[in-house]
Amino acid sequence: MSESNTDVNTGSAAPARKEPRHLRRALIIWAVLSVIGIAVWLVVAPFILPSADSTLDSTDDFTIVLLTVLAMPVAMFVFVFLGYSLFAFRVKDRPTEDGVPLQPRPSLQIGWLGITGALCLFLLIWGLFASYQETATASSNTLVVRVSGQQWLWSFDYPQYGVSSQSQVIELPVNRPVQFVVTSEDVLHGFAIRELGVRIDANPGEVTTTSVETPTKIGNYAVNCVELCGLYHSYMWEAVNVVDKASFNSWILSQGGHL
Amino acid sequence: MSSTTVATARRPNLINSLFPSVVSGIVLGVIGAAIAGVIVNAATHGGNQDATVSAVFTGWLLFFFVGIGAFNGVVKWGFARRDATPAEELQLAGQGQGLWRYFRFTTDHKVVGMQYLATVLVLFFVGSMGAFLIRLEQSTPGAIYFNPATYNTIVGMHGILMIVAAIIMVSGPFGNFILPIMIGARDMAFPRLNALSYWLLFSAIPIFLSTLALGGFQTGWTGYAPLAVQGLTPGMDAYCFTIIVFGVSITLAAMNIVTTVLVMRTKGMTWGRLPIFVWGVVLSVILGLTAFPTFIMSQVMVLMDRVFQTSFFVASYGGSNWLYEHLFWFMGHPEVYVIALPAMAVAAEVTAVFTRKPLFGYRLLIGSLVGISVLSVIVWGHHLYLSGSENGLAAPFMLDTELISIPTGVFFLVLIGTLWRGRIWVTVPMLFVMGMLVNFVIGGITGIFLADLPTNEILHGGMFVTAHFHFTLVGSMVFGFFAGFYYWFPKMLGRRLDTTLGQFHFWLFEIGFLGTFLSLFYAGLLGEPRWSANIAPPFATANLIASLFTILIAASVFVLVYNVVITLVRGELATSNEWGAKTLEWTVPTPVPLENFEHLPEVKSLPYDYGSPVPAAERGVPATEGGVAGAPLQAKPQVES
Amino acid sequence: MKRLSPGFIIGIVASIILGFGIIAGIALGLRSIEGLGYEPAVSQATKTGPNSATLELATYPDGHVCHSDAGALQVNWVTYCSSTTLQGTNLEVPPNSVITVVIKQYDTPTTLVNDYFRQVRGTIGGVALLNNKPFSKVSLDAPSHTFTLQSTPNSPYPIFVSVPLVGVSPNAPSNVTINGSSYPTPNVISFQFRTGPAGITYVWHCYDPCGDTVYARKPPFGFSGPMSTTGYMAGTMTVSNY
Repeated sequence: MSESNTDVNTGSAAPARKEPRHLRRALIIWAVLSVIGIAVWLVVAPFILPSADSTLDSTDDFTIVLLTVLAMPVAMFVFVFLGYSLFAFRVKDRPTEDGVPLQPRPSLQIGWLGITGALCLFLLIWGLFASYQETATASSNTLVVRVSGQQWLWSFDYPQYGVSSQSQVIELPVNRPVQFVVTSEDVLHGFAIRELGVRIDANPGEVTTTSVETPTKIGNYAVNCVELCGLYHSYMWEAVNVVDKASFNSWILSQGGHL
Repeated sequence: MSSTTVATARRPNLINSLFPSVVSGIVLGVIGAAIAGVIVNAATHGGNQDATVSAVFTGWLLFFFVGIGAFNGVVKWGFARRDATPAEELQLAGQGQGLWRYFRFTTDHKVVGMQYLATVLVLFFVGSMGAFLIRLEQSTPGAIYFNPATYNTIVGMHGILMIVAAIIMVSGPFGNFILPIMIGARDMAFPRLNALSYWLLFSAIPIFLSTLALGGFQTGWTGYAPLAVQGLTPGMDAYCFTIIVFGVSITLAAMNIVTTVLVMRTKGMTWGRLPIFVWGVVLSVILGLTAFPTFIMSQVMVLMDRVFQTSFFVASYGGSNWLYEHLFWFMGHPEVYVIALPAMAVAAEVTAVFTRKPLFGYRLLIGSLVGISVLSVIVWGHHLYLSGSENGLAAPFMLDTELISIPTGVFFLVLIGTLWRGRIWVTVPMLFVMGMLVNFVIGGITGIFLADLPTNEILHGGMFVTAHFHFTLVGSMVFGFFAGFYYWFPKMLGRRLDTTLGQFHFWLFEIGFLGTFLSLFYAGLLGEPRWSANIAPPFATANLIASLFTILIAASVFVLVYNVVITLVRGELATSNEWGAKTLEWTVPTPVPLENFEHLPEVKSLPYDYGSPVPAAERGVPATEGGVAGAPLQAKPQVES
Repeated sequence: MKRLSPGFIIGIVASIILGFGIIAGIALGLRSIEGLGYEPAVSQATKTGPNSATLELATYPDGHVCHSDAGALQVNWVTYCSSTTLQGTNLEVPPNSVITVVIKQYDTPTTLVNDYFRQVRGTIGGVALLNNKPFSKVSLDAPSHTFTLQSTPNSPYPIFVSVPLVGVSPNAPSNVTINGSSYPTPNVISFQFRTGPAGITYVWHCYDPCGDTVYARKPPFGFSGPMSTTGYMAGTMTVSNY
């Protein structure tokens, strides 16, 4: 903030020497708190975010971490300057004098727009890049799972193996690309597996396809429905098991399919 | 003039007050609804419940407006071929009717503003009851307190009541009461339309509440199409009608505000001298005029699908649910900026007054508000990244959505700059502005998370979204409303709200709000879906903590109610310039006379020239009649009369 | 903090208490509105031994038997009833037991949209009895309804049971009268499943969409009306000690 082309308030009693220290002090506090905030976030993040168990989800979770790191100085800017103003410039009751009539210099305005614009551009490029990475084309090895949502249950098909899942479970082999082809029988549903970074709407009469992604860890996860679909929307969950290749093959056979 | 005016002058009491008034409106409306319902029920042999219910609502609307006297002037103008006399205009504006004028079709903008204020407060109260019930249900796993169908209805009611209240919360009460005075006008450009827009809102409320008797609605406030058309019970029709009527109401109000500001600014008030509050409201209503027609049409189409079995949104007959989603979100995104712009403008207005400083970049702020308005029309697709309908458009929508963060950042620059080196008087309005700044940072940043494709992919449809929009709509915009509420209450109602109670209200609200929604952010990061009647065990702790903090929010609501009630009953009278502000509304006496100004003022400068060196000759002119002890030495009102 | 007089503080506390009272009142009021997804009556399985119980249900093509006081539309909805008078779709069963479910099925068939439900799933032995003859799979257009029981998310003891309830021929004579309404001779379907520990809730509903009477079956209408309303074709099951 600079004082420009207005006279300093004749009623102000603050000596000229003291004034610039406010800005410097606030900036230093801002820098320190931003660094501390970023450090705290980087330490805490692995405990807050669920494990990223697919290639897709790793990118997505990393993006959350990165965005929060970038956001920390922005948030601290507002908090620090707000807090500092409250401590330094507060008056107890109705003010008897006016404040210093500051106006932003054109250079401050352009600079601010420039910096926020650059930040914004970076976020945009990152987002485009990350999502471009995720639109990898299916390799010949990709497992295709057909998902059909209805009120209030998901059904699964593995057309490559001639299997319809006989229980309310999706089994996936680890380290093999998988793609979900999703539709709905009645109303809008949302097909989501959090730890695998899978999320897409199930539309009646249309087929939507997720990006290809690869589960990287053996584990148990859940499918849930993320678009309100009526009475038992919040009960519309199924199990997802990521298993090794041998277990997956024997599961296929047990469901009556062919390898 | 004619014998009728003489005749009515001789019987000034109960009959004249009751007819026309809201009482006659309701009575006639109920009769009309019953007649229409019986006729249509007989015509369809009871087979089409949606048609019967639609007929009931239509009958109610038509006869309510007949009963409240909305058509009286039109009928006289058209059939009797005479214009209203000045005495009749004043009568219509509520002259000499005391408190009863608030219950009639009164054209005085101050009356309409008070009606809006009362309605907004009631809508917030009822909506927050819904919120508390939601948090009650979500405090433990399982659908224990309510059946999931009831829970979905509560969620939908909470959502739409709050959205409706938030859209009108600043432009309705303050845009009507304060704005004309602030620009130096005697009333709005279209006083009768003004009254009509309020009563349209009022008439929509019984329609909406009737959903409880009709089986509720299962879709939540977004009313997504295949589920909305699915049938179930006629409660969905209540929702559709409410939106249509409300849409008409705000269209009328928007046109009124735009015209008023365009043509009725007082002498000397150029666009560069217009208070920032007026800028915010005008831009917001222009945005609303652009956005709301698609909302109205989407609901008309849903109704047609339900009543007449068309298939706009039914895939098996050739329709598409994506059509609904695009129509809805084309409105849905600008709509949040319709909510945001006036609240941000109120915060800017209030900050200048309570820091005794000019706005740090008034023209820059106007530019950013314009930028937000323009950009907000082209970002709606970010709600639809994962819908499957626009895979190729995801990138352009992401670009636009990221761009909106630039003008929003300017807003922070302006407010922080205004606070910097001011003389900060921490009144209750100022507390709410500061809470708004804190919450808006969090809300805005999490919006960026949702705008980015990779993160949207793991957060869409989850509680992270819910927490984000509560941080922005409630934590920022409703706080802005409360800043305006505490700021203008002394002018509108002539009394001082208790400061201690106001502080309680703020701190309970802010602490409760932060606790509740930060917990829900965490639940969203874990993957909790929205609209969960049945909380899954992994999310139970976060939801329990959120529900416990909600108790504080509930307490804050009741403290506010207590404050308003005791202030109205025996509060201290306020002075006419309670805060030492410089905008025109503080130059008129409290209570504000019917025609606002004795002589229309002439304006020579922006109302933010605090701290400017003033020629000695003009120094010391008191801003209030009789002077107020402790008024700033350099206080110079905007007015030269 | 000037005016903290006792009257003031009493006023604040009283407002808060009154406010929470209003919330409680609204909650109770909403729960009591019928048709808003009210809580249907509870019907308990009859215990037949320390670790077994029997649940008797019936499916009717209209609501005259157990919803005779419902509104004009709902009284014509297909419905599950637990006995001749109770609505009772909130089932209660004992823990760690074998539950025998006997369903009298009075309704005519409609075609399944998802052939996943042709198969009997989750029952003991993988079969169910239709008029005392075992079956494990039916054709797509045989069932009139299904009884499908599913777990809530992350349930400690997941259960998934689905049995197609074979429909009665549309030409069958109406020679049974219950509560003044006539129905054909029912198909009696029975099956068994095991419950786990107490304190867990499950949901069940029918997955054979027949819609409401207006649009019948084309999606999305197949699951409207009674299919999405507890007390008719949807309900819950709670495992508890009694």
